[in-house]
Amino acid sequence: MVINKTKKWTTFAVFVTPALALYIIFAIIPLFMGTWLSTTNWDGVSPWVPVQIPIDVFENEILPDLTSSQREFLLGFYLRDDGQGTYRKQETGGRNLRGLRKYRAMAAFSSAGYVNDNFHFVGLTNYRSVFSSESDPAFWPRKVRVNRFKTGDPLSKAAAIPIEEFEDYFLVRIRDSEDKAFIESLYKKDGDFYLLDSGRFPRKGQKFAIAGELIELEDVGDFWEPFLDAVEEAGLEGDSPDIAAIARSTIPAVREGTIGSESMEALERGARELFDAARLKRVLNENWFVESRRMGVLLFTVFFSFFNVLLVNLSALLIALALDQKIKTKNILRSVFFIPNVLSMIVVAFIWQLVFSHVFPILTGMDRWLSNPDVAPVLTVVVATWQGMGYYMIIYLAGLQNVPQDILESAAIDGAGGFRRFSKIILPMLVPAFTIALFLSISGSLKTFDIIFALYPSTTRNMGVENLTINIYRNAFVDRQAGMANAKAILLMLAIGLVTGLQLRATKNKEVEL
Amino acid sequence: MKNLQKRNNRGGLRRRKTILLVLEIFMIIAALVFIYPVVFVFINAFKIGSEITTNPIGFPSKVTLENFHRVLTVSGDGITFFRALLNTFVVAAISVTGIILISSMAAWALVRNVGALSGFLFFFFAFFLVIPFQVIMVPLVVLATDMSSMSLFGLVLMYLGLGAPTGVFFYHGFIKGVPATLEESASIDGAGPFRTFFQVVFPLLTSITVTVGILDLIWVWNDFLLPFIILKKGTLVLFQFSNFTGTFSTDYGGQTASLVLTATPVVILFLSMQKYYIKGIAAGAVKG
Repeated sequence: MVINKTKKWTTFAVFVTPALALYIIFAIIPLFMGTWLSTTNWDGVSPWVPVQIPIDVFENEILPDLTSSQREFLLGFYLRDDGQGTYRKQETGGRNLRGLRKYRAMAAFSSAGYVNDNFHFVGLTNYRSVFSSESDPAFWPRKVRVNRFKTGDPLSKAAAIPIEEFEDYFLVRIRDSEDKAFIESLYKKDGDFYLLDSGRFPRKGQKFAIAGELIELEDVGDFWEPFLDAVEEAGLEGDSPDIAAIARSTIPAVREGTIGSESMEALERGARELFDAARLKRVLNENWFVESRRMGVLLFTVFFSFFNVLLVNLSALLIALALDQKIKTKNILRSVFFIPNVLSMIVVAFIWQLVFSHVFPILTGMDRWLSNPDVAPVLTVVVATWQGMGYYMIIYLAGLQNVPQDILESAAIDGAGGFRRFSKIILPMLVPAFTIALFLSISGSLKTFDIIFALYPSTTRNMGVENLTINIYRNAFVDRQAGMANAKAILLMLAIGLVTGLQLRATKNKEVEL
Repeated sequence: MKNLQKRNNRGGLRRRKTILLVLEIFMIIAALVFIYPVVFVFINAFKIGSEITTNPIGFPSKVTLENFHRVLTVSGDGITFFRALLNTFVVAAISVTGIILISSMAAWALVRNVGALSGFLFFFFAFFLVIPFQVIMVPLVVLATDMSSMSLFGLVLMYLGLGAPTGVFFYHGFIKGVPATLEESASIDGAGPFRTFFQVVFPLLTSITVTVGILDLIWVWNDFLLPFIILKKGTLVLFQFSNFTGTFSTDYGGQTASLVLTATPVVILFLSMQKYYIKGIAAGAVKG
């Protein structure tokens, strides 16, 4: 009997251990390690054991506090380097300080009270700085300025400006009254646009066109180049031009008074045009911009999750209700609606990139979709809903199987209309399906990563579509703030637990009422 | 009186039929619009070069397989697309076989040994559902480096560990409904636990095994972030799309063809096995 019992437990252990061990190694230990890392200042790359330690620290502060086996162990890897004045970590002959040896070395250092600058306990600092705007301004809602005229843009970009754009986003912003008068003298209202007075810029302010004219002047010689550079710089910097002075300092013929009056006129004319063009460019660049709002990581995560949960469940429920009717093609339709769900999110993101860039412009006449930060957050929701809907449709279809047909039929005979049957019979029977669909969609939306990451490779931040998971990824592998990344991940876990916990309580209560 | 009701019913029936027909037509149109992005990519994969820019919506002016040929032979990060496809297939096949094996064994042991320990272990496995991947992401990289398993083999081990809890969950629910009489008679006949499990129990689990197998195959095939942080870029097929996106120009033909090549296996798997896949989702939903 005793043997039998032992044997029974051995069998139990043999059958359970493979799954249990792998689960513990790759999920539970990482969970604890993640919690631990969230309380450190680790950047994600620095070694956990120091690369070198000053000789006096190593010999006087560390070695005396160690047991003899620890001392021997560390001295096997740290060799005295008198040239550098340090003990350096040497990993030669195939022996390295990785894996378990790394942890043993760390234990030795910590028992000696040695603190590694690149990896040490910082308590809850990471958690506190998650919410401070200094650590990451992109975490919070913010305004960003998008210049409509960038430095280096040709003036042709500002040759015609729509009236609204000109008045609301440009003219009102010009503080300097001289600049304002200058702009008003240059632009004339014509139809729906303000047009740049081309008479003032016969060569559209292009430097090489002016240069081409000056090259012809023999008494100017090769000296037009520094002259024009100096004039343009004055215009760009907003200094009022003393063209005569610039000419005097850059062109010997002017300084010596040997320049002809015609040439001097040409110089002044060219310089005036160039100066005006440079000044116009500066004023456009400084004042013509739109301020665009970005949601920031936190708000976008909430926005994305809220609308994704809402749309995914609503569309899934409607389609499930339709497919639950006696229509002939319902099996084919169900497969079609489900197909996006078996595609990888990466594939889905690439598919939609192609659709947004090649099909949407034809359908709508609007060219910029993915690259337009005003619609970017909406597009992420659209794509995520398209991908996720099928899964919830199946859940609702399964829930609808539980609605007893005889009750529906007798209700119909008793004169209950379609809407009454839906709200009084079908909807209450669907509450269990709602419970699970909401649970899965809320936690799934908060954990969404792939689809946004692939839709916006490396531009999530600029486009204001960086959600918490991408922010965590970024902190961990790009910003070199692994400790901070883990603190955010733990907070995400708690948030998901809290939100889904509340939701389960609310919907479970509804189930009980029935 | 009876006749009147009958006639009323018949009139109602006809009206109902019309409504259903309208609904059906509407749903078919909705489905076509819904699936259009997939069809769009599929059609464009057969177009020559950059025809997508001149003729995005229409059919190819000349159907070509040249894109597929180029994709299969092109090499990004030193790994050909074909190789990456093969890697993905091998990883998925081994991981899923392993998950099925270890989770069915564990679930059987848990169900058949009723007790506090079994109950605790079941909840311990179920606890996995609340851990977001981001929490274990950085530690997994640390762990993989410590264990020198930043490789396909290491990835497979991770899939085993991360797939086992859900597998146990599914098998646990199913085995509870399987009577133990067969196993008992097998063990009375002298079969050891392994023989009992593999020759008597496992064949009874076929339908749930197919469900778990499909769910996990699609999961592993489509998983991106874990291999992305563990493996060298290019190793698996999902990393290969960037080969066709240049800084200045994009090879749309190559991109669409590679999308089709990557998605086709899962779509075929789903369409041929959708009964089990959908049953799996519904079962998971009901039990969860």
